[in-house]
Amino acid sequence: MLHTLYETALREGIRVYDEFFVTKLVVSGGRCTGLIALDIKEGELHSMQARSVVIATGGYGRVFARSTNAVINNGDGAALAYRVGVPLEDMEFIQFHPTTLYGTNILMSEGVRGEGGHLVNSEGERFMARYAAKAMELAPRDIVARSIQTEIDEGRGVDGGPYVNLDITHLGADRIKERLPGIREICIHFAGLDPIDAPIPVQPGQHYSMGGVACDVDGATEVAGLYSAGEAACVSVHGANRLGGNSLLETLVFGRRAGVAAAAHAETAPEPREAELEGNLREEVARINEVLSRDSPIRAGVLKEEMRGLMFDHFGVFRDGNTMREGLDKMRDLRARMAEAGVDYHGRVYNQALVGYLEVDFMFELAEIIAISSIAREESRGSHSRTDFPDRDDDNWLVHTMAYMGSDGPRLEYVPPTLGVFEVKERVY
Amino acid sequence: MRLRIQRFEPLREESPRYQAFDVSDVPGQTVLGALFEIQDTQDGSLAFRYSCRGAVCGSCAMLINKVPRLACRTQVKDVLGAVPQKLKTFGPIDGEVEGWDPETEVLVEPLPNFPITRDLVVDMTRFWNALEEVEPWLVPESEAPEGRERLMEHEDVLTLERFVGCILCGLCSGSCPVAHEDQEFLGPAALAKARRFQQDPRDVRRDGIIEMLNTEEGLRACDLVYNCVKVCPRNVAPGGAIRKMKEDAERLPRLDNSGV
Repeated sequence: MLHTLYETALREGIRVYDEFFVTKLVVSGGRCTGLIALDIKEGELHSMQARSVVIATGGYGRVFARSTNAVINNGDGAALAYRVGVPLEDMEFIQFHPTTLYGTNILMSEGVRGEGGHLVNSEGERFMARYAAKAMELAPRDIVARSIQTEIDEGRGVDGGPYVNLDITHLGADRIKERLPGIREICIHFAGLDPIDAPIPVQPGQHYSMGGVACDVDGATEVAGLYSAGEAACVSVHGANRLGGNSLLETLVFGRRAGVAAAAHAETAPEPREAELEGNLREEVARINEVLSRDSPIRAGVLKEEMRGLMFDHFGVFRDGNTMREGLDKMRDLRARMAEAGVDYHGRVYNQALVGYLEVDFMFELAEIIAISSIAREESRGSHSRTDFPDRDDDNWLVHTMAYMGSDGPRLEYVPPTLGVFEVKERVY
Repeated sequence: MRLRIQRFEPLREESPRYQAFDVSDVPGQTVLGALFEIQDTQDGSLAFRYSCRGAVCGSCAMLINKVPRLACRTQVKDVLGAVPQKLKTFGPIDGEVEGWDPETEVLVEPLPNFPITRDLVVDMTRFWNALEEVEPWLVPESEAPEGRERLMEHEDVLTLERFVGCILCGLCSGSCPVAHEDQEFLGPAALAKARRFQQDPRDVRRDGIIEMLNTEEGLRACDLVYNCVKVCPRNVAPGGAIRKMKEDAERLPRLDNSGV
């Protein structure tokens, strides 16, 4: 799909600005008029006028340690929209997948358990018997994820590590080669083990961002000319938890609608004035030059890894108020250190120290919103599983969270969901 | 574990140099994981391309122990120790590197046959231009029926699948002795991509694609060395596609305008 899209763009002669990193959106008089972007290859900032801008930057999974997402899924696009006043919706709803490969966290799909894989703890026990005696390993995703996390939290991770084993050795070489060739290949190249001979170390990991840039069914945000599509967006087709395969709904159906609407808007919107962009460009040049000039032993990359770890530990598979509030405090301390962090390369060409710093700055923005939205929602719903509020509470919490940028952190508002097509009821297994 | 990495900043330096870094010996450590560890904790000036870390995006193509590979799907422990070179050698993948001990160090260099932007990042403009030159898009006979796809027979899908799997990583171009000598050569990836459309029953061009490619920069440049087949991480086997298209070109009526 990706390649067909790329080939079609080539055919249409669409110009792609490869390796340009957007640092700021420009909004003037309530409408988006363009953006400022860093050309990573040359190291120069550019302003670009635009009648329509579509944010399609994917999810923000990398805010968490242990994510199946690509390394670039830092949520830059959502943070950009937030900083120009667009609310981010339902940011507390983060999907965790039960089985990701220990180390790189590449997805070990449901198929491995579907073929008969066993989940085994440090004591050699098929522990799912204690959580879902009938369904065992085939219990729903969130139940399996919570079960594995409980085993790890209670000290029954294999070799004392933060993982359990997914064992398919009993299936035999022929069946593994025939039914799970892709999984076997991933294990060999990315973990250095052959699942024919050895169990696969797995742990729950962040998998999908249900929340994102608040937009309507045409991808339109509260700012005229600014649209969003795909995992970056929150049309709210997933509610509090995404069903398998439904990311295609977000890309194919609503991505197309956003594109059509953005193109139609560009036809009628007035030409942006270059002068507005120039002022923003000068400000961004000054901001980036200041970051580039810093010499500091504090590395953004190190702060990033600490932040990702604490997001997983404090806002992960299980959540509770005390743990989350403690996590928010720690995260804010880390974020404060970003002001002192520097970049240890000052050249212009392909400066990933600079790009990394800007990414981590965006990630902290999102981490705080996720934290505050999660603490506020005092119930359990979908992927948001609170041990201190284990029940779903439709009387008080059948609402979408809207996080707006306030003067000292996110300000939350709540809006009712669109209901009527399906009857609202709790999913029980 | 130790990596010996080629560093080079063309704007400031005359020639590349090599720098050794020690990384932690964690189970399943990949070369890309080791590069991230260096960039995040030891030296933020190190530059390398990445995106997915799962052999899907094709961004992290580089020369690892003198073999073009994806850094993300290369285990450090698998490439420690001297391994015989299976590729036909040429300039950058031949020769010694001073100070490199293959028994204890993994040598990491930029992908050959492209100009170096900085460190392990190369300028792939030539690669993308070649791809565009083969017009890699569907040219159907007529408009698709309203609201419907153009369906293919299952066996046709299987024929195309090999080529559709290409992730445009450029390992094939980086391993190709012809691409090393001839800057104009379209290269294995673009030619394999052209084969994907030439074999597509929905595309009207058929022999037209062969005619378009049967030039000194296209099919005729390839010496069928097959390094591309050996290094491809997705079993696209561009060399096989090129050989078949060369045969197709032989069967076409000659338009002899070479003048010799």
